[in-house]
Amino acid sequence: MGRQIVITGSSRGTGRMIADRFLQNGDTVFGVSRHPCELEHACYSHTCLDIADEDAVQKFFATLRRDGAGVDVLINSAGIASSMPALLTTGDTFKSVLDTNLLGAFLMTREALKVMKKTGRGRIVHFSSINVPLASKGSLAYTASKAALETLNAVFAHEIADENITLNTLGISLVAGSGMFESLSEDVLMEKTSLLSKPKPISGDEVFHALQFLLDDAAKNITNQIIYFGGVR
Amino acid sequence: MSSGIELVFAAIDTVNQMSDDGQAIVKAPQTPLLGDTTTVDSLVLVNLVVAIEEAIMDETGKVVTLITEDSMTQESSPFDSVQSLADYVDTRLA
Repeated sequence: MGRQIVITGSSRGTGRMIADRFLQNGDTVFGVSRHPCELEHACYSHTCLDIADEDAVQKFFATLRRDGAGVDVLINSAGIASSMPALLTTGDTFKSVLDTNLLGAFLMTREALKVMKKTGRGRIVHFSSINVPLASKGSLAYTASKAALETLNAVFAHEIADENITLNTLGISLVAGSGMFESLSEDVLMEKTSLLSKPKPISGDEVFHALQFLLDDAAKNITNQIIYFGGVR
Repeated sequence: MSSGIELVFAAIDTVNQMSDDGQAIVKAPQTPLLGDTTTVDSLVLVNLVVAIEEAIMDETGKVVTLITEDSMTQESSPFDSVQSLADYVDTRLA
């Protein structure tokens, strides 16, 4: 029987890639993003919402509950990037990045856990970035938000350690076809890849493979872990 | 619209169903939730508050956050007992 999977940022990029693969796998996907999604599938439904809007997030989960849908898995894939030298990053940009990448992930995780605690099982995976261990130049707000996300995951994982619920983080490197990879200039790309022992861009299939590992029933004691692609740690 | 005590009792049922022995909270108005005499674990109290908020959302469509700065600084905590919590829920829904 397929799982019921909530994916944030499912309208494009890596979120869209993995939504496609879960659907091919026979799972039901509830996609969430600020933008409409062109994905059409009998087992896919899309909700347009800003995950940093607390009321909207609570109502989204209340609707799932009312419709009798469980939440087996939450994948926090939504994120916005900001490429700007640290000294030129404005407070507004910083807040905006934190809202989506951190506050949004927090609200989605908190509400999903309320559902999962009732069933006593669940899997949550956050998308972080290799920018965190690399302390990459030129993306201060983004990198700081992802570092905080990793700590958020750790605290949540400790608080619910007595349940069959796990929370883990994937540290994504450059994902081919995600949009972010294609948007990087040659100089930035060269600099990033020079720091990786596995510098080639990764595919959606590789991200999906790592997710399947973390979502497996047998992974119930693997929690509060960060798996980085690209050979960094 | 359910009363505060009805909502709290329903939430206690939900929380007790989640516990191993089904008796995490005694379903009675005088049951203490905070203080030296309570047997209610702090995580169970969190689950109770979550269950009440969900019940309110399901019944009214409204998002109500029960634990606020105000509720935590009141001289007599609304989370002292099942009855005080029910009274507090009534106040918040009035």
